[in-house]
Amino acid sequence: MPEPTLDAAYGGALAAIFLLLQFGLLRSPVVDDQVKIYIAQSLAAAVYTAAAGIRVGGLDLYVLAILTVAFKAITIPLLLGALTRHLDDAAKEVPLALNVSLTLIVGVILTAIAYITTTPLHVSGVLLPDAALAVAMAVSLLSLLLIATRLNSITQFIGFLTLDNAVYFGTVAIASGLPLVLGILIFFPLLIAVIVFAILVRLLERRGATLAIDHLTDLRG
Amino acid sequence: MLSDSLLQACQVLTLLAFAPLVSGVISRLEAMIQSRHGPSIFQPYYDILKYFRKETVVPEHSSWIFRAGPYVSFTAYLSVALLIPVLTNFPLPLGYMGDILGGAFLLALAGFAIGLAALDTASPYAGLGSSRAASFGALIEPTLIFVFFTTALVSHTDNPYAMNATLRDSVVQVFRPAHLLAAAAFFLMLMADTGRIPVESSSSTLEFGMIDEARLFEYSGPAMALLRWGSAMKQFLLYVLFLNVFFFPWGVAGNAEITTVLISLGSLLLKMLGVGLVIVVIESAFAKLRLFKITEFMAAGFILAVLAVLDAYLGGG
Repeated sequence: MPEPTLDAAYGGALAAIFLLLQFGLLRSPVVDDQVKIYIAQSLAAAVYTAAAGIRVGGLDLYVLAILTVAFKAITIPLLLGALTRHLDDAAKEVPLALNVSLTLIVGVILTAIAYITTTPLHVSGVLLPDAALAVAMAVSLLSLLLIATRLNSITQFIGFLTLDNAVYFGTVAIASGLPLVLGILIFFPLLIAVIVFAILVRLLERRGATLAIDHLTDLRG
Repeated sequence: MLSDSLLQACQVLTLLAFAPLVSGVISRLEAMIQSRHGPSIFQPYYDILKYFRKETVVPEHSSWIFRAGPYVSFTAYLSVALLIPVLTNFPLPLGYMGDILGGAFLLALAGFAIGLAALDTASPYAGLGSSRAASFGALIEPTLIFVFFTTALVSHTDNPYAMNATLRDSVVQVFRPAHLLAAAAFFLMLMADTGRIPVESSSSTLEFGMIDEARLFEYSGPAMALLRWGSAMKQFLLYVLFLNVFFFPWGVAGNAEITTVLISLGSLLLKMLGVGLVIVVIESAFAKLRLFKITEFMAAGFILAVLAVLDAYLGGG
């Protein structure tokens, strides 16, 4: 194993935090906690962007980092807060299709798959010489796992948001020199998706008076 | 200059002399944080002395296994101090007797001896404790094995002295993600193994939540003193492993001068105070997990350890 550089060490530590927060999301059974974890994960992505900016020396990445904080760590969580504020504690608990321990073990297997499949490709980033694609891939798979095993529309929304975080993280980690226009372009579909999701969640709630999506099967005619 | 053999003896003596003090300081700190006056920091010493003066009562149907248990475990804990860098960062004569797995085996032997002795009493509470300790021990084991894999991948050896040297080489080694994850996993397992609050409440006298403590129910007199002293020593050893092998490799004596060794002892106790503070904060801030939720705690530790291996092996650490 080659000697690690300081860059690789703190880049790797940030990536590890980013990945662990995704596991935290799988572990947490309450919507409010999940929103907090999403904020933390977005902040980790923003710090990583800023760190890459220091390394590459581009103003673009600083702008992107500030946008990430403003949008993903403040605006979207506020919106999520608005969606969940009127709910009582029972409604904020997430029904599980798979219990926590099993989900975590499946999560570890998915992470292993992400590492094993992506490291032979030798896609390297500035701060993450070896694990850039692997971490992004692992977080995407874990987001899909979250969406598949948690039966609550807000949690699934958060799963979609972390999927976006993973793509964003991968983009910044692998192609730190990307033009600012592309970086902002990544935000745009997210903006649309957030609006659509917010309307959808409200609608679901008004129709079924619940956010737990396992009741939706009752609607079949 | 102290001779190497003398230093080795000093490592064991440090363990014997200061292990109860660490327990005492932690329980005092805990009392202070909960705005109680709390016991003196020397209380564990008084307890051990008191037990040594009491008479021994042995359950009627127990065999030699029950009587041998405390001695086997106590000796096993003492032997671990020969293998790990307690005071010096250069290997002492018997330091090559076993690697970090050897240390783990000795700790496991101690747990096994106490567990078997608890079953030997045929007391339902002791048996329950033994069964619980064995089942949770089985969950801790894989995590520890993965932590050792990571250290082996990072330092190319599983000798704790070499591990300490690798970490001292450059600060970067300490902050490598693989290493941080492994250290975090080890810390969680340390909390579980020393009976700290998310897993077990060490100061509680309620039998339902007991895991390790319940195994000692049938003991009395000097045997109990050895077991109490032993569990303080186990905690001390795990802290030493966490600090000198995993997280904070500095401040350990690099030569055999008396002054450096004394400084090393002082810095070790200071570092332990730091770990103790963290543990006290965790113990005061969290509630004890329900017994069947402990598996989630173990799963969290296991995930950290597996991620550490993945990162060290495939992600370049």
